[in-house]
Amino acid sequence: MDFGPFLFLATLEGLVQAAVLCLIALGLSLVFGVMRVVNVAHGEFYMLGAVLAWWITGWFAGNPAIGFVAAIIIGPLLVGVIAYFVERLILRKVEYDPEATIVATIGILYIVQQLVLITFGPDARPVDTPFYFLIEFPWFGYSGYKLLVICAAIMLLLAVWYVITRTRLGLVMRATQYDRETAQNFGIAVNQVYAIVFATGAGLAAVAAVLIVPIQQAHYLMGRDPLLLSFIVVIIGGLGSIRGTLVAALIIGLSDGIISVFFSPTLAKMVSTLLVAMVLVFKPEGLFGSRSQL
Amino acid sequence: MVWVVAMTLLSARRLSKYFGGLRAVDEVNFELETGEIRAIIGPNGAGKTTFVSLLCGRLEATDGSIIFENQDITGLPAFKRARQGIAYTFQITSIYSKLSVRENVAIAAQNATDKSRDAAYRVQDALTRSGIPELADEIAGSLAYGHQRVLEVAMGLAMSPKLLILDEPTQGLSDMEIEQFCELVSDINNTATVLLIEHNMHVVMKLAQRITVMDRGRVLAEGLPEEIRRNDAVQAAYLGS
Amino acid sequence: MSSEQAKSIFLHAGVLAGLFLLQFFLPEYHHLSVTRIMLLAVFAMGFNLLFGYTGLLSLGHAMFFAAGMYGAGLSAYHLGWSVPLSFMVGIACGVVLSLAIGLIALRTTGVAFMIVTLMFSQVAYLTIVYFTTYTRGDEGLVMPESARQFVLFGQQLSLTHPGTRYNLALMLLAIVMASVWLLVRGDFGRSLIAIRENEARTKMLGYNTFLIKLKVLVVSGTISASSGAGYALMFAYIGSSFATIQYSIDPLLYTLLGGAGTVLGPFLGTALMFYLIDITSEYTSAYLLVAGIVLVILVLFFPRGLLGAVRNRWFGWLP
Repeated sequence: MDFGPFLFLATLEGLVQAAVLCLIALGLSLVFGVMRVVNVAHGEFYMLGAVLAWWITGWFAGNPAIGFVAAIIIGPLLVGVIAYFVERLILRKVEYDPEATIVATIGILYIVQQLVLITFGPDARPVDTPFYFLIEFPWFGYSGYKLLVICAAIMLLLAVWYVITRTRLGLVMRATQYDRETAQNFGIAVNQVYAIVFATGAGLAAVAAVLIVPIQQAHYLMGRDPLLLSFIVVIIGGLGSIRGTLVAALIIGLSDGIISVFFSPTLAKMVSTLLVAMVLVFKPEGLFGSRSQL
Repeated sequence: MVWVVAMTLLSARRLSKYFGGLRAVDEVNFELETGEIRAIIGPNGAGKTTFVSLLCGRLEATDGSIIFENQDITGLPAFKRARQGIAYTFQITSIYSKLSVRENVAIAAQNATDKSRDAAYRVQDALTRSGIPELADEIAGSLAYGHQRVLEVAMGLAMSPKLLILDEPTQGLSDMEIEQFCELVSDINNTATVLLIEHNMHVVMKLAQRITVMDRGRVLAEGLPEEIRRNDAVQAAYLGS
Repeated sequence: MSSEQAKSIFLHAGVLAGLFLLQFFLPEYHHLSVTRIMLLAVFAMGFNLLFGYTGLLSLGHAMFFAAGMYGAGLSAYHLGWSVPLSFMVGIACGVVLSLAIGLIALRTTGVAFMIVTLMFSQVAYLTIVYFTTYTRGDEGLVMPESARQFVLFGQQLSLTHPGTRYNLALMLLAIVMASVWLLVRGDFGRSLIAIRENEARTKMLGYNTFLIKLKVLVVSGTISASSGAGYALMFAYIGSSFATIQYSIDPLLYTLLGGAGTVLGPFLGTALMFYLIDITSEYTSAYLLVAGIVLVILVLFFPRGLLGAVRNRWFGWLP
């Protein structure tokens, strides 16, 4: 293949990565932005979404699209409910103290991961693509499903954006983010908002997982890389800044896909992680976000 | 016969602090003499706390210079200024609330400017002079508010400072506690120069040898208590009549 | 000497003496386990100096452990250096790495510090994997026979002998325990606690808090590296799995369980957790579930850990 088409293919692959990363990182960013909580277990909610998708699609014989539609509705909902209870039973109890929350979410990471291992076993589980459709470019055919992933992610991002900027729930969220105490004084049930935001954040990661699982496979250890990547995205984008998160996810998802085609993935990860750590040290407001206190 | 000559302990030249467009402290010139008790008064938002924060190094000055004992300290970090003898007590009580009173004072005494006596002596001395030796083993966070304020001062005292800056020390104290507090400050003044931000005019008139009035980031007036009381501009800006 | 100090010396010396005597009674399997526990407890003690006393939560201490491990292991493997020399190289790597990380990471505080240390540690892990020619990555290296024998103070010692390993580990533990004990009881320890409780105030009391944090980070990293170096040489193996996030979480878990900010806490926590996981792994491959559950329970109900709770209730003098 010539260089041009090759780059085009790499870009398409990068866009799929970016789309999924956008959703995961948005969940992390939302939780951090509103609750000032770093959720180390975020990657496990993603993993849980993928494994549930495999489990749910197993209920349906016949057309894989039916199972997939069921999975993308039920999976994230289940994950959201679990996250809701985690928030209620654990995070609220430690009063969102930064240190205690990190330690607690590390604990939750292990618990979720190991419970999945016990329940579903250590094997990687494939999920059928809901439909087979090749889009013919002059140089190669490309999976229509992957393009659907990109479109679905864009739709979801638009939906989240709409909720945050145009609805009462979004207003309440922004008010809570801006000043917790004042929001409480204005009769906003801050506790309720926190639980909903935490569940939504986890749900977004789960949606991303269901979308990606026909391309990759579901596995109980699959949560770690997306966690680190979305950390990177959220830091580069500016902690708590949603616009910055999206820009960063696009850049990193794209470049990760493209770079790993040309360079050793380990070296690419090494350099990018180091650079991101430096951004956090020397430019904590991120490269694209507005300044926000840690 | 000893001639007591007024010596300048600290002076600020065109000292300024801008927060974006806000001129919190605007080209302030200020002189403090060794051994005096100086009060800074002024309405809320006049820049008093910002000004003393510049002196003790909690904030970095945008412009201007600070001279302490004939040495330019403008660029020094807060901890070095503290070691040279500038102690600051916070407006909002800032003690180690989980540690004992003695431990609080001991932390302060560790970097005292005058280390001619051993640390244990200096801790006990600061506790005794502040009148809280019997509270030494209490956990600081469990003390009554008034005692916490006294502990703040005891920590300042334990540093054997040359200049003790007190930011609204009597806020929230009862009348009786205020009287005791005034005695404590008079006692401290035997060994240190005192710079006091204070709203309570009774305290100011009782303690201060000179008064500086600030308004909107500038020095509005400066003089003896009597002069300040009679000053029309001060009346208008601050005393509210 | 105050009676509190005497009690405290008595307690710590007693623990060490007990460990010395224990080797004559332990069956082979537990003999080896206790050797590992002592080495890992050194790691946790280093971590605790930073986390328990200074209030800085590092999520990347595996990199210091790995610095010691690879510093010692690579010089013994590739350069054929003697065991004591390789051990010193491991420690030197710990000093250099912790100094470099400290100068950069200590510009941040709170959550940012946790994430930055996590990321640096991840970089260290990837570095080990990347230079697989020398490190053999995940597969790791087995120390050559030349690194199993050495002469110390005129004694010919063999690291294949379990008793030698046990007593060397005990020696390292004793040295580190004594150092930490001395460190936290003096003026330096007081300044650490002051930073933990209220850093802003501590600055205003004349402390160069950055320098103090840098010092304690270097001491903490170096102690962790000594544990890693000891582990590499005694068990004759180095591998990249020792540099994963898992090995950054472990000292946190041990410290939290035993009691952060106590000298003995990390040792107690290491011993308990080691056996807890050891027993669980007989029944299930998902033994990390226990680690997760313990972390959550500790955070929810025993934030001060076991020794912390004991100290609060009964023994105020416990350092």
